[in-house]
Amino acid sequence: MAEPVVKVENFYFRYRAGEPIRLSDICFEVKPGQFVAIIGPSGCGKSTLSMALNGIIPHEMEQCEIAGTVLVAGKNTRQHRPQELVVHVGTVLQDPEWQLTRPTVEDEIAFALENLGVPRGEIARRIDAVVDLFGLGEFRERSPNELSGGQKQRVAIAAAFAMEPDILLLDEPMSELDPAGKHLLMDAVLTLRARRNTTILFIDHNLELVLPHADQVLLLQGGRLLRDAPPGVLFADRQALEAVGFEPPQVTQALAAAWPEVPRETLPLSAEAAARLIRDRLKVPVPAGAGGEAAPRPDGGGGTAPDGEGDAPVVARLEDVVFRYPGAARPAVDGVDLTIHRGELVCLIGANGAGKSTLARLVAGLLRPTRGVVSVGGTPLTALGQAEIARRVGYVFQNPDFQFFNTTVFNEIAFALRLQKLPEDQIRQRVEEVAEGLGIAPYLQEHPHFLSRGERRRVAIATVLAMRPDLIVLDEPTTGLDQATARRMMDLVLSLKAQGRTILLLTHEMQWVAAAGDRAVVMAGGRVLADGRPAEIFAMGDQLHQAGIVLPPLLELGRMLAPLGAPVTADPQRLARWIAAATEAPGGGAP
Amino acid sequence: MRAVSDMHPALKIIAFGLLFSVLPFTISGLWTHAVVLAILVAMILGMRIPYSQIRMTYPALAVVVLTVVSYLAVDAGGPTVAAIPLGPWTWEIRQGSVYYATRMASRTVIWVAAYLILLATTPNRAFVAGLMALRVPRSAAIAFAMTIKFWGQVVQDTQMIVEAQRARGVDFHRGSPWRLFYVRFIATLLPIFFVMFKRFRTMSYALTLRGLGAPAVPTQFYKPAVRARDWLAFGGIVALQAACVILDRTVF
Repeated sequence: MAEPVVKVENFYFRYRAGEPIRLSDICFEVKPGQFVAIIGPSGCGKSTLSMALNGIIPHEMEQCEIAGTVLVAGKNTRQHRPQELVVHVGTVLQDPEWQLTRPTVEDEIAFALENLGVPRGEIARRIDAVVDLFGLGEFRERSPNELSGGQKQRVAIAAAFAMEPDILLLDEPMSELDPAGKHLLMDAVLTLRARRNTTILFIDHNLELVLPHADQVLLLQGGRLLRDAPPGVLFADRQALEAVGFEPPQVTQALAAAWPEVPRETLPLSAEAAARLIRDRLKVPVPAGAGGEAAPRPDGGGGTAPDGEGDAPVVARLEDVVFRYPGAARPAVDGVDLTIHRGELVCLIGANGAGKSTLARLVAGLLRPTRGVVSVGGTPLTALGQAEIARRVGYVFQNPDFQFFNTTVFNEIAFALRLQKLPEDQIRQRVEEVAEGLGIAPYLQEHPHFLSRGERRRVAIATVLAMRPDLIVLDEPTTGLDQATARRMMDLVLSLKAQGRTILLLTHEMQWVAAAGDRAVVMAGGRVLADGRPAEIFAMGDQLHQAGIVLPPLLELGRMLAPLGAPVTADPQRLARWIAAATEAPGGGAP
Repeated sequence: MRAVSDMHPALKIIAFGLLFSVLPFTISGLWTHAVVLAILVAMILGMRIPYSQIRMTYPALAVVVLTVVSYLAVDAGGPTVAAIPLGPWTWEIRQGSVYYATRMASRTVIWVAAYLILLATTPNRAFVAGLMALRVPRSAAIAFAMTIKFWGQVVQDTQMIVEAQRARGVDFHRGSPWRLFYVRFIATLLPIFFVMFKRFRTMSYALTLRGLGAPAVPTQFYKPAVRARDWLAFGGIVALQAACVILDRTVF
């Protein structure tokens, strides 16, 4: 039996006396080569635990209270500084911009090795190895500033891996990546694990992507370790899941609904494994019309008319819009025609750098097109002042920290209304109305910067809603949120749509596009590659992959089974009906 | 020119960061200042330094203007060359003041041009290697490199904050002076403060987790060697500077 590479016993931590306890009674062990997912709602203590594992706690936290033991590769983190532990624990942080500190990619990879006094020849060898492994050859001499978010995270992992650590600790490394970037990053991590038997500790909210690879899951809640179990066992534990507001992966949900007699812990978590199992269990021949499906037909999405077909009034229109940043080799937005009708929820999707944010900023009048016309409510934006544009188009930025400067949530929401010189009683009424609607009424007198990330997002949305704009632009509203908070955020978006609001949603989360979007507009290279109902878009196949879009697992499973007659659907129950009709349930044992 | 722009970074720091900083103090003639300036401008043009980088020096023009105005305000003797009425007062500008104002402005422009050449032709990693070759402590060299690297990021974040405020209807150009102060400073600086605070904390952890401050003696991976042509280019620049000093003492 191998000795554990990580051993945590009765660990307790808080930043200083009198503050809330961040971690308490934490006990677990990790064996060498294991892939351990650390999950839990926002604020549950995941990042704090990661800082305890790499030695930041207690060495970089003055006045903190700490008890218990953390042993990493046999070393007590209290007695060894993080600089000594880096040879055992390589850490990749969440923010790709600010964790890369050196002038070139090569320097970045070399930096930790220089600090550890590794000889120059050995540094060169390790750089060559990780550059090959991560496909960073063409970026080697370039500044990390010139790379995309996904490329930066690959550099950060390469730099951590060059130290040849026993453990790779990743703290929400995928939060700013597009779907293809997430898969690339996960492939890189799995390659490392396969080559060096590296232990992986992976903190993330993207359970669908992480859990199929995990051997063990640590579920945290309120600073305590709620469960330490294999993923299948955890997802069979309804009590634990309900406690944190998490749901099993949709693929597992579909299989569980189709085969209720099969123990949940034996069900696969990924689309590939589920497809294999279903094919093994197929009735021969597959019953015609199984699950009520006459033929494979994609669905998903709310379903108003695609661009140009609706009778609803036009809210925003872009005509042959081109935008080029000063000094850029090619336009960021290149000849885009797009019409958004009243009441539509239009999802703008595409890889990082596809031009989504630039297009949204053009719609919000924050950029002036190099060519073409952007009009809102029939008026070209060039004919409107900034205040009037802001009244018509509300833009909620991905990072709400960019906009808050008032000392209370109330004043933050009221700020734009005061700019419009509305009477104070009307301002109060509007602020209270949106605060009530968004569930932030209890925080109206709090400082906005001291709220949680999900709460700050809702305050940012409130600042826009209070202006009652014709069009709301939401830039990645679920990024970095845990599953339950993201679901609440999307419920909020759907309730806005139900109120008749027009929404332009920029997102990398395809399950929300499938579940909520009326239309999906795919961008690639600054152009609109496709515009249609989400189901039509998701049926595009290879073209979508080229645009950096990866289907959510349930749709991917439907697509894999479509030749057998399965529906390509975002509804687990609908796929479950087809599976139940078309297959024999596994006989109770492990499939 | 290529030999100068490709010169070993340590020699380039001495030539442009040190010697060109001292040179204006060793010359007094305005014509000599003009010759030095002409040499630097010829180098900037010959090295094809992009306009985008030249534009970064524009804020230094404000320093030049302030320097000129403050020197013109001082009575440095000589005949009056201009008299400007300022209500109950008259501002008399003397010939001596014009001389000193011109000399100080020339010095400032020489410094700016020399540093422009140094920074625009020296990649960040080479600059750090140059500083370390000059025995500047490694932590100071790294801090310098990070300041340059992250300056662009800070500017980008600031632009994002301005955009976020504009999206809420904030007009950064119209309104009373108090309102403009409020939106330009409070509405921009406070978010910057919070964003930077969070990001600097991330950066601090990132440096620690890359082993900065580890007990081992650090290795220097990128360590360019000084070549014969570097010495030649350096000697050429020193000779040019010496020629300017001799010219100043003998001709101008």
